[in-house]
Amino acid sequence: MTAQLCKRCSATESVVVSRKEPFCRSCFERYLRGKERKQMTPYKVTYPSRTSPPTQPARLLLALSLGSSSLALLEMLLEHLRDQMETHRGATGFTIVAVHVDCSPILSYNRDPKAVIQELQKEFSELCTFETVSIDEFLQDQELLGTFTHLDLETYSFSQCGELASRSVKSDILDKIRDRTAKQDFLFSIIHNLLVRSARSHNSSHILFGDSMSRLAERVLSLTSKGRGAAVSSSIADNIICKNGIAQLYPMREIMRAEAEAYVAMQDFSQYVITPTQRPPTILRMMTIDDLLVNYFTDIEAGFPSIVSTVVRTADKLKDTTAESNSVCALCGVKCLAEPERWLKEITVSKPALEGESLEPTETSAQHSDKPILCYGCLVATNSSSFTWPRSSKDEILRQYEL
Amino acid sequence: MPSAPLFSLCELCSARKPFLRRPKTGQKICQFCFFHVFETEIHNTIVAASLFYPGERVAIGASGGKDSTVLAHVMKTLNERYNYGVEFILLSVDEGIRGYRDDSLETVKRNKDQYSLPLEIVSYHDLYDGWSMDNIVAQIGKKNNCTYCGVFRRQALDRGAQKLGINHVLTGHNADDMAETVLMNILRGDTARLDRCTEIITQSAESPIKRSKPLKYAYEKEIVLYAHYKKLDYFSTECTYSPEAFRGTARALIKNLETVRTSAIIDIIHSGETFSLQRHGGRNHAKKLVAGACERCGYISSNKLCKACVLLDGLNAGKAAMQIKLEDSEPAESTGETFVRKQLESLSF
Ligand SMILES: [Zn+2]
Ligand SMILES: [Zn+2]
Ligand SMILES: [Zn+2]
Repeated sequence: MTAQLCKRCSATESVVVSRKEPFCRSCFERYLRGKERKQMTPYKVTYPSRTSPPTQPARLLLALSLGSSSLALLEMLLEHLRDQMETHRGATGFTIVAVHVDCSPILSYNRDPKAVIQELQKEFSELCTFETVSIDEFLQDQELLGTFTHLDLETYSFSQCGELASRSVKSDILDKIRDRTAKQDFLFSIIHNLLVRSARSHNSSHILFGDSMSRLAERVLSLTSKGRGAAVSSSIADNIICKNGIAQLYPMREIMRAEAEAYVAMQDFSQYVITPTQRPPTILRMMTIDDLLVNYFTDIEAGFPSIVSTVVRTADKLKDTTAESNSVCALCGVKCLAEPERWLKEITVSKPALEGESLEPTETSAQHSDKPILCYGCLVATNSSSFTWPRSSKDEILRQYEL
Repeated sequence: MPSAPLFSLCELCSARKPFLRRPKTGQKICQFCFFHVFETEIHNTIVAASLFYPGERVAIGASGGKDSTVLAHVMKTLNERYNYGVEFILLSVDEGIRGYRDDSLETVKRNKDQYSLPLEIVSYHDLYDGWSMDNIVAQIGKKNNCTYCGVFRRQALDRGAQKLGINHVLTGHNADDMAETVLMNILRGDTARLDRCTEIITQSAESPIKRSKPLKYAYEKEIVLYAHYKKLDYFSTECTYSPEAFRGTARALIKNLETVRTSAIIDIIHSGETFSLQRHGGRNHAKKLVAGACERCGYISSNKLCKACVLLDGLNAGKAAMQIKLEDSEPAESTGETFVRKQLESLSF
């Protein structure tokens, strides 16, 4: 088989085929970097006037999970910075602090994430700052913890979880959640909260997430499947304020996962990729909803290549219906629509059949004011096998922390 | 845990022996409680949507299959139990599919007597110049025939209802169908339908008749169980013309999601109900359909000819011009309904 010529330059042999098009290395790099630059347009070097020095660069935080996609984004941003420095005599339009939330207390990886971050710091210190935050810092932050006090209300309370130093996200939170999907959701939420906290302490206006288009498509369907459809729009849109005035950005939103992987390999960044040593489950019953959707897209993409972009484009057209809502979910912190519990009760009746019963007494609005507000997704996640309400025995904590 | 797992008793009434594991919740419950919750949930759905008014005449789209048979049975039961005061009539469409519809129609005829409800049958053959589904498939092949069937059945139900002087038809769409539609619309990028597809009542400019889905929150598995334990007389063979491959993948995905989390089906519907499109003023409004009538058959239509007549012209001409190509079935642009719909829309001369 003779190698195809790159379709862009028609001069060099292609090294990668993407979206059915053969690319040579330099055309492929330009193609992907172009997509990143497009998303990063607001962060050009600007000058208030002809004679004045450039405007202060924007401070951005990069969420560096050390997966292929976030590493590809890191490499592109470094390249972008080098470019700006070259053309603007050392000035840049943005600065980056790359933060890795270290989950090694929960998952084991092929490499120690802290060591990887140190290597990156050594290699690229003149362009970017690197930082590791341990997942367990979550439990040492009273304010962050406040957002999660409703977790497993029966057994969890501050007094029970021991000395500050010995708290762990694994034993104090995740091990108490039975449902695998819910476990993954809460871990995601904890990481997100820590990143927002870091962004705030670094005075960053935006968090850059490395999610590829493939990942965003999976997210759209997984949120939908988990009853979190109301959060689809705000979860994947750019410039949405995620919390505390910090906004989110997805510069890789037009890049496929396979493209990011190919790019990372080309740049010799594969050495920094960390992978969990435990393979994702292959038995359906052991999977999370997210695992399932990763598999679904992998299977279907071959037959329907445009499906990923279709899904993301469709989700982009959705309106954030929760934007005007005043209710905030006590668990995940997203704004939520009213009375998901009532909706669920009407269509999932749990009253027994009575002998000789004729008319079901219609329930009057059974809203107990002392119950924390949960969004539908969290309502289901906290009790997915039977829709009974988690007993709220920690009312005091709730009153203390609920906004 | 306050609900101590008494494995020997029904989790709801704690009085009778559990009889089945409820697909929707995983609860082990007795037969009485199962019938009770199943029916009450449908009643709640009807009440929440104010689906009926006293004295209303309503047609039940009856195919003889499990969904519509359970629908007819439950509607009759609830109508008596809660005094809806509704007059129900069974309405069947004979698509002309040998070995499927001829047998299932026999079931509907028996249902008519079992529930003592009047029955009206309208056929493709009579409505569409002798084009039964079997004849259509003989002409266009098995690909995409569901699209033809969809257009034709919708109109046939409408015409049947009009004949009866009725403007409200109930269909047997269940929760699984609803969830599948939500996912399909996302996967195909059918934004026009995405935010409306979970509505219980659909009324469009394209149809003079209001449709509603009282079983929209009922799990397919529970419908099967209900029909089985109530010993309902239904026809269980699937349509001999199977749906498009792409829809099949969405269906399989939902089954898998349900295995991972039993509530996934209603969770997806809940998501669907919260979807709302950003509507940028102007373009959308400008395209608003003006309801007119088809020049040939008089059916409601925004174009000169209604969709059914356009498809019929194609069938009668038997030409490639109207053939619907499915070779490159990209879900985004050219699959099935969306593609045909676009093609039909572009046909306004
Ligand atoms: Zn090239
Ligand atoms: Zn929530
Ligand atoms: Zn019972």
